[in-house]
Amino acid sequence: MSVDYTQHPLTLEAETVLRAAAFETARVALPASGAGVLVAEDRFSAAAILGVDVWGTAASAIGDIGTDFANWAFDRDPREKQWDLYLVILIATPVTENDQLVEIEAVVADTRYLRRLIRHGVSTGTEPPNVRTALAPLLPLSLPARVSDRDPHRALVEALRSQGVDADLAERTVQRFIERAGGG
Amino acid sequence: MKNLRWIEIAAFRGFGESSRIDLDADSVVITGANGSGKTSLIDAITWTLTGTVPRLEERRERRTDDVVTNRYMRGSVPRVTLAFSGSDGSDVEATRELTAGASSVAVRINGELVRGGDESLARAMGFSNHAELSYAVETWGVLHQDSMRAVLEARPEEFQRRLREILGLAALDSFESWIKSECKKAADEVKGARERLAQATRAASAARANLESIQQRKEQAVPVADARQAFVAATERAAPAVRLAIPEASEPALAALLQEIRRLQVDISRQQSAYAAAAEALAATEARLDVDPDALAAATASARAAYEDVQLRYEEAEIAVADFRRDLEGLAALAAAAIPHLGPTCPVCGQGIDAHEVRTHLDELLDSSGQLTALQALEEKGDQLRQAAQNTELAVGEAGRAERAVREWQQEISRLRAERAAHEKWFASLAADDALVPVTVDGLTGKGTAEVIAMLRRLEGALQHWQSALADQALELQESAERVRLAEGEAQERLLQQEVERLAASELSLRSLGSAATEAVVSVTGQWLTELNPLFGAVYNRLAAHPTFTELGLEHDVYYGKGRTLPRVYDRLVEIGDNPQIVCSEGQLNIVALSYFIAFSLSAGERSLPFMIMDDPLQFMDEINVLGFADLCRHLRSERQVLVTSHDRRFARLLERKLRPRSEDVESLRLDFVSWERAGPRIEAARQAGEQAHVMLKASA
Repeated sequence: MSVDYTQHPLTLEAETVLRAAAFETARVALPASGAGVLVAEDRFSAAAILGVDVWGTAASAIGDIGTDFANWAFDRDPREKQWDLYLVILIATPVTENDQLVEIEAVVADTRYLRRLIRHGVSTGTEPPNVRTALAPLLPLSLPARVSDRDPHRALVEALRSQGVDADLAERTVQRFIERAGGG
Repeated sequence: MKNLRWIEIAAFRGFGESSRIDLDADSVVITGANGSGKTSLIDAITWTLTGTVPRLEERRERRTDDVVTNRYMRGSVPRVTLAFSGSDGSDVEATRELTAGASSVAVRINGELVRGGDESLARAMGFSNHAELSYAVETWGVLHQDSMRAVLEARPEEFQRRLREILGLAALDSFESWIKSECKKAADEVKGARERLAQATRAASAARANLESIQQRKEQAVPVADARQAFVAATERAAPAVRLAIPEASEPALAALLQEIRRLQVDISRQQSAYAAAAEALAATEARLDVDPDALAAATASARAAYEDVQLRYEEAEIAVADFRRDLEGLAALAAAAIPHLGPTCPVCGQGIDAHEVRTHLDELLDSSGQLTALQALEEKGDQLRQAAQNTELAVGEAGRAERAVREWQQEISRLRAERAAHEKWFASLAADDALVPVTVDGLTGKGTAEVIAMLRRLEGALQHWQSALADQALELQESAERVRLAEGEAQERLLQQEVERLAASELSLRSLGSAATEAVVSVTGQWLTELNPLFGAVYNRLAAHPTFTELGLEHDVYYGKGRTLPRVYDRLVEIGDNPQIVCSEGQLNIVALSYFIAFSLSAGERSLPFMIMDDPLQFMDEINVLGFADLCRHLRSERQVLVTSHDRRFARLLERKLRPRSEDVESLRLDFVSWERAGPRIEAARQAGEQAHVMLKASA
């Protein structure tokens, strides 16, 4: 029985995240298993994304889906992406049972044909996006703003005010510090 | 991103003969067996930029050890030239040499030699000074395989320092220190003011007590005229035994008289005691002298005359005894000599001799019993005379000693009489004193002097009373001065009390500001860490180090009043955060350390370097980690030029495949350190030019 994973909320949010990171995406019905997966691809990698509620849903099918996706990719370009195929399973429910954790570890350790990434306890609609963290290995690095360019004195004044110090006193104190102590 | 272009190394570490190596690519994978020279290449880059190789500095056995010159090229000058793009896009070549134990660098920018050595090199790299460049290179520019864990094992203070550099926390730290120093100054000021207040309070209390004492004395004070009159009356009562002139009413005159009265009491008392002692000794000596010394002398002379008479008679008797004895002995010797010669006739006249009769006569002569008896009587008489002479001599000696003792007592009596007379004379001399006259000493018994001393004591009391009354005259002035002092002290006390309250309030305000500042610094650091932590997490997440602790970050808190930064790993499913050094295995810890290194390097902002060099970071990784690291490097090279070494050819190959350029503007390079010999490593380079990646989904579309 073929399963369509493309409409799972996790898959849908993953598509949004990946497209925002300049991935091409497509819903693909894999030829052998008939499973419906989201395929996302950029110049570095191609990944099949499956969203499920619990580990049990994916556990039995994951082997076939992996092979099926690898074959699908090889049919299209055996040269470029053969080292960069990923099968990403996003599981809504956290996995806490040891047996299941051991199963997941074994699946992840299997690097034949493609790399298998399994993320459990993933929820949608969080800020920052939980799904984005789960997909991090595929995404470009997002560097923080240049914090060293910020004005530490202004930040101090704000922080002092938030500590209940009178705004004028905070301003005068930091100003006095800048004048008398050279400000750092 | 490209930055380092090529490097030329000669006589440095594992490189003997000069060798130029191409580095001009976005990613450079350097592979080779252990000892093939990979790390020497990394050391050469570090040395050129910083002038030192920190990991080798720690291994010196002696301060003067040369740790960089190739051991097969001793005598040669180690020289490394590193070509790179400057922060302004210029072509920079930095050549470092070690000569006479000192390293120096020559910098050429666009072919022109520039002055300034290390500082010029730092500016070319976009740093304000060489110390900053060195710190950046050693901390987030180059990760040596043997110092990887040092990143993680750095003490919280070192993490704090790195963050300070990255986040510009120096201003926050300085602010916190400044506030603390202001708090301490304020506390010192409060302490000083409190001490001054305590002093002023003590001074005011003393003035108050003085004033009360003065007022009490004033109430009890006697008028000076009354006191003088009392002294005059006492003087009149003491007269005529003691006669005093009334002094003028001045403090010095009264003090001088008082001193004189006291001295006189002591002198009289002392003289009286000495006089009494002398009189007592005189009486005792006179009592012992109950014989007439002249009669004693006459008796002595009579005894001496008797002695001389007896002595004379004894000597005469001795002479008589000696004569008699001599005669007797001559006669006996003659008789004894004649007896053997007795014959029938006389040898002289020839007459016949009755030998028997003659012999009998001679024997009688020899016997001489009557004569001997007389001799014995004479000798007894002599002995008696001698005994009498001895007795008389003893009596004469005794009489002489008695006479001498009497003479000595007479001398002692004379001395004591003179002494007694001297005391009497001293007392008499008092009479000559116009001011003070003890009229009578009552036969030197001490009775009179005791009365005089009692009078003097009464006069002393009256004089003191007069003195005191005179002193009390100044109480008005003293009271007035003390009132002024008290008023001033109380005013000072009030001022200081206000100052203490003002300073204490200021200190309290500063102290609360200080606490707020500490919290503010923590808050600002925390806010900024919140922005940095996702990067730490993103790097760590890709390396898949731990199955449950899947997030990495830094926490900032205050410990014993000091800010500190701690490494943390998190399991978000159960919301646990802990020290990675406690919860991770050794292999996992290396990945944690690598994550921090990469994240620090990416976060360093204006203090960042355009390259990232990792010396064999894969050595503790499994296949999954390496795949994650390779994916990470693909993204890293768009931010930094990435140089990675590995002794594991399989992983290096995997890394090379992963880093294959996926666009035309990217190039990758593989440097294969094929072998190593004394002249240096043999290196083969393979460049992969960029080409546009094929995207299957676009093709399908």
